[in-house]
Amino acid sequence: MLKLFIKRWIVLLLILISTLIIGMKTSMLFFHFFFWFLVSVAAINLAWIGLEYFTIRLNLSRRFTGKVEEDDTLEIETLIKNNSFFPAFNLVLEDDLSCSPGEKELLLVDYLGAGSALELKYSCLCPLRGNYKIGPFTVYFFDPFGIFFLKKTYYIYTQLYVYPRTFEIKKFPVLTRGFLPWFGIQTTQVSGDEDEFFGIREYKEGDPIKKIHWISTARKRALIVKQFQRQSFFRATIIFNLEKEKNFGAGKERVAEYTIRIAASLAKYLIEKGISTEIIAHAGEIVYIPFNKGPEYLEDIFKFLATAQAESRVSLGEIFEEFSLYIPGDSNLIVIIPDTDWEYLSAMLSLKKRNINIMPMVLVTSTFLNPFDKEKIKKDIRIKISPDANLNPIFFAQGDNLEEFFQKY
Amino acid sequence: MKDKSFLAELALTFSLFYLIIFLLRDALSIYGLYIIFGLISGFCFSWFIREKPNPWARVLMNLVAVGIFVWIIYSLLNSSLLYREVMRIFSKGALFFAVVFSFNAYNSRSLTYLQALSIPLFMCSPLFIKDYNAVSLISISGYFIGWFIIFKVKFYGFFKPAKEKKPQRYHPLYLALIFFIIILVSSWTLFSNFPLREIKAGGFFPLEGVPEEETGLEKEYYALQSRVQDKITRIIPELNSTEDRYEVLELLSSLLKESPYTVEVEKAESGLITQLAHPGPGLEKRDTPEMTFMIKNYVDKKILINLKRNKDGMIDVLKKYLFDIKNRISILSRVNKIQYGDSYEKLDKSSKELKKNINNAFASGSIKREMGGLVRQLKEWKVFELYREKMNALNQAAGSAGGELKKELAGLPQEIGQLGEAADFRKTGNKLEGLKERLPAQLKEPVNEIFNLKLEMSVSEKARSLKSKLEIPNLSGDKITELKELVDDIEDAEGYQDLSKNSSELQVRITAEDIDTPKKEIAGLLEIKTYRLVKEEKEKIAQTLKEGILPDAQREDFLKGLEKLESAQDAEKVISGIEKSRAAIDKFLEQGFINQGSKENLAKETEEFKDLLLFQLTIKEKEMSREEELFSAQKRWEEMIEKSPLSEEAKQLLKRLSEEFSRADTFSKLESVRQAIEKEIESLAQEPGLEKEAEKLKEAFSPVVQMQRMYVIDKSLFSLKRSIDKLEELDYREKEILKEYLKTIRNSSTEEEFKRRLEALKNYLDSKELKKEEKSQEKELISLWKIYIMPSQLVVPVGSSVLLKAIGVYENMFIKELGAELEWSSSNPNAVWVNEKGLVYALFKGKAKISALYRGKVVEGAEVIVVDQIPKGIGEAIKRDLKR
Repeated sequence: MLKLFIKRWIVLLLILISTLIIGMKTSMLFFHFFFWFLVSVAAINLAWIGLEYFTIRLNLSRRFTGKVEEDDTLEIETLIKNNSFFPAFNLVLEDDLSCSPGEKELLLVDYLGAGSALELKYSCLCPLRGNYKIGPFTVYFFDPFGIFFLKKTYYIYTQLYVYPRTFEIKKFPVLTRGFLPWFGIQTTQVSGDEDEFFGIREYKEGDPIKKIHWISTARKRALIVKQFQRQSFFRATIIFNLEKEKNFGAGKERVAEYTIRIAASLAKYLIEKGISTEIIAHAGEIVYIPFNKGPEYLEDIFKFLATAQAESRVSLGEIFEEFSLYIPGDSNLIVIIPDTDWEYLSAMLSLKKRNINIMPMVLVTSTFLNPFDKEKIKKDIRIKISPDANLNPIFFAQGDNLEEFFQKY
Repeated sequence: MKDKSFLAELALTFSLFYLIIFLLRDALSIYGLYIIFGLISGFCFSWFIREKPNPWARVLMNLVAVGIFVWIIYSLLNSSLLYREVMRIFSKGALFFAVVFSFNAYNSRSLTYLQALSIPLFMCSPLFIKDYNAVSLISISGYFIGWFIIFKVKFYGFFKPAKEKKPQRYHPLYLALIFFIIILVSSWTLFSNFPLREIKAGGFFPLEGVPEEETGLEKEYYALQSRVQDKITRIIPELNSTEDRYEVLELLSSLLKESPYTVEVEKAESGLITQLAHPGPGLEKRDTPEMTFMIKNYVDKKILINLKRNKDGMIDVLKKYLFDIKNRISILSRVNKIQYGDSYEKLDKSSKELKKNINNAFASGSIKREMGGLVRQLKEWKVFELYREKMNALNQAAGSAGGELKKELAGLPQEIGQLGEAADFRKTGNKLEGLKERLPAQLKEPVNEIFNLKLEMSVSEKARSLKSKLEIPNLSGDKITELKELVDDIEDAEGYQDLSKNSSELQVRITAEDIDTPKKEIAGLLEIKTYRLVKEEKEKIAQTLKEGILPDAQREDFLKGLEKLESAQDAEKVISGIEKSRAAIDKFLEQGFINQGSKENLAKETEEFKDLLLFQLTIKEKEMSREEELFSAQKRWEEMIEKSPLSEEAKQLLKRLSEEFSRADTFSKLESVRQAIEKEIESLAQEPGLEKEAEKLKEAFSPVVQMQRMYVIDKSLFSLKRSIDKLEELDYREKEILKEYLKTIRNSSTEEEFKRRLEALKNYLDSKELKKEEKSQEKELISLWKIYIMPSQLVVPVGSSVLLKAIGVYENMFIKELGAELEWSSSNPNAVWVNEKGLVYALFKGKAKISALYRGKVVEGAEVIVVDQIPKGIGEAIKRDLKR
């Protein structure tokens, strides 16, 4: 804003000085008058914005509608309320949208009466997953001619998760069924045969009103809902390592990004199918999210995936050694690995004894480095990794349409 | 949405330029129309091409822009380089640039540049706006509003979708409007309370055309003028003789009058000083030193102001007409040299150069004439200034000199001061030559210079008096100016050729016009001019001689020989004298005192000298009046009688008769004597041996008769004319009729005709007799000689008022203040308003002439100049004065 206006002020100042000089050097009265005119413009306008700046109190709040994934458009609604007795003219509201780098939303409020409120809607594109702090609000008070402004900052921030992009999985290889059901905690939309009352918890946005436990609500003076358990016979463990040294590629076309995308899509698919899912990963630190089900659980996973960075300095083998004991028998293990980590897969074969179905998802790293000749590289890799031991790895290369791989099963 | 706001911005930008073109219309003339069309087509082009810009269009535009740049430089070099002209070229060029940029307006950046370009153009506009009427004020505020909307469009996105528009959206507009009005009011208040007047006009931006502000000098001048006027008018009634009153009043009026004639001012000045220094008997001695000082001071100021005005006038002419830059600069520098020069020599040199410059300048004849007139006046005033300066120095030197020299010097300034005719100059010049040896060295140059200055002044005075004689009512204005221009040319003549050519042309023209030739004036001018040229030529010769190694004594002899020629009375002497000096020059060359170049120069100069001397002689011949001619003719006739072989008796008779004849002053007497003489001659012819002699006598007598006849006619006509002139009450038309009568009488070829016409005139006069009497009676009732409005010039600040007085001077020198019967009127009631009592109200800045009507007689009177402000101290004092 300052950049935009500094030229204008320089021009104004130059004109002011030149009219002063011309006015003093001539008896042409117009220049005298013009000089005083400019002085009055500056003085009165500055006085006006000063008045506005010190008298006007604004109340601002921001809300997002819906969840956003990478490359989605974020819809924002901001409520601006003038709490002072003085009407506000020519305000410009600036919102610092950190989710889309370099973008600042400018909104003009040309009139806001005393005590009145205005809802402003705007949107921005979020190109990168992550956890963002949206804010602060900056309000520019303009004079009626739009020559000067004063800036006031409102430190109002809102947390925003931009989740990794997922793709639709239509078909998935047959999973190994467990013998005992696993119970997860979940508030279901309907009560059914498989559900049993589990307990109560506080109300969260989106919970159906039917599930409100009125007695507890009355007792605790807060909305309380009932929780039910849902049983599941299938269990899956997703394991991956976001190793820094193997994070090849550039921008969004990186090994880690692909890994996260695949993991997010798988987790979403599995949990939506009612399969208990566990996540073991390393992203600078070890992350272990134990078995659970339900949309809240999915959100937890997604929050992790949104912020996960390729910071790991340990190998997959080490992680596996540490966590192999926790992987239950009669379950499924989904390993997302770069092809360079292929050697660790043989170590995992021992799990087969416990009837654990291993599903490797292999990212062909050399395609990230050299994006040409992808098919050949993929073929070479396929030949290199022998198809014995009953493994059916899926090979992903950079630029592949990931959705396609999950359509043929 | 985007398109809509782009279109709006294009339209707004165009409207900004349209307003500016409207404001600059005087500077642009027809170009304004072209530029408007250019802008329209440019914006349309940008609108249609906005989606798919063509790179070739850009290249073409750049080429055109370079062309405009070259045009600007070319016009600047060809211009006068005066700021208004420069600004005009720049604004024109900037507008052409705007047209070119408008073809590129689809680029938002160049659209912004276009808008920014409009700001300096807008700031130029006050230079060309002649007056701020409602239309121009509306366009100025329109310009501001245009900018305001551009700001809104640019920044706020003025054009939101229609559904988002709420009635409240107009609140900011109302607010802006209110602000605009508040700003206008406050800036007006500031403007009227704190004007930026510390530094005056004439700095970087000198004014032109606009009514001039009173400068310090003018203010002082007018203040002094009113003081002089006031003091002297107070003294006038105290003078005891009516003639003195008359004279002082006349002198005062010619002193205060804004006339371009320096001699008049000089005469008025010295006259007033001498008049006031000698109060009549029985009167207490007045405060004369102070008065003298004041008058002198006033004249000093007058000279300064006239110099300044002439210079300003010249600058105005330069500004108005486009002289080329080289000439302009050299003219201005010469004018400055004249204005600030301190010797006659330099002045003469630079004025000659200036004239040459003007003649070489690429301008029309009338402009050159105008410039020439201004130069002449400038020079005249400068000469006057120098003359006064040197005169003062001489007076002081004379006062401080001792011994015999003091005696001789005492009368010198006065003597020089009273010079006027060529003969006087010659005499004094000779005297000065004699005095030269005895004068102290530091006085030699000044005396010579004063003499030259006075000579110069006298030349212009003579030219002036001739010009005033030429203002003959029955000549058309064009012819009068033609004749006057010839007189100017004579005054400016630089050598014999110019002089003789112009003077003969003047003679021819005057005789062609069939008017009374002002012989005396012409002769006076020619004589003094020739004298001046002769003097110059002499100095030149002396200068050329000095180049050689001629011994002083020989040189002196040579120059003295030339000087003797000056007073020679006939052409032969002059020619022989020049021959002698030529021989002397040849001798000098032989002896090796001078070289070939100097010899050639000397030959040229002596030739010129000879021509001038001969010309001088011809003037003298022409000057000889009819009386003298007659006298010489009579003398010749008498000599003839004396020489003739007649008897002594006859000779005596003829002599007596011719004496009688010459004394005849009426026509009848003349005729009778003529008849007697003719009879006598005839009788002589009958005697044998004397036929031839009688024939000769007869032949010689006839011119005498004719001359005598003309003389008698002239004499009687003159008396007739004088009596007609005396009839002041005659109005203009009647005067004309009478003049016509006189002309026909004078031109009548036969006696019969003459008598008849004379009779007609007589009858006419008789018929007029009755009316004349009536009129004269009426006149006697008023018998007012002149009305003066006092003060005649006023400088007053806005808002104040001053009472004017009308003073009537009656024929019997009775002075009275005229009161109730006056009807006052103002020529510019918007600026100055005058009520029925003569109280002048200064309403607005400006000038006005206040005139009064007294019994049907209009008195042109006071010039009132209303100025903005007068420094606080003075203003306060005036107010106090008024309250009292």
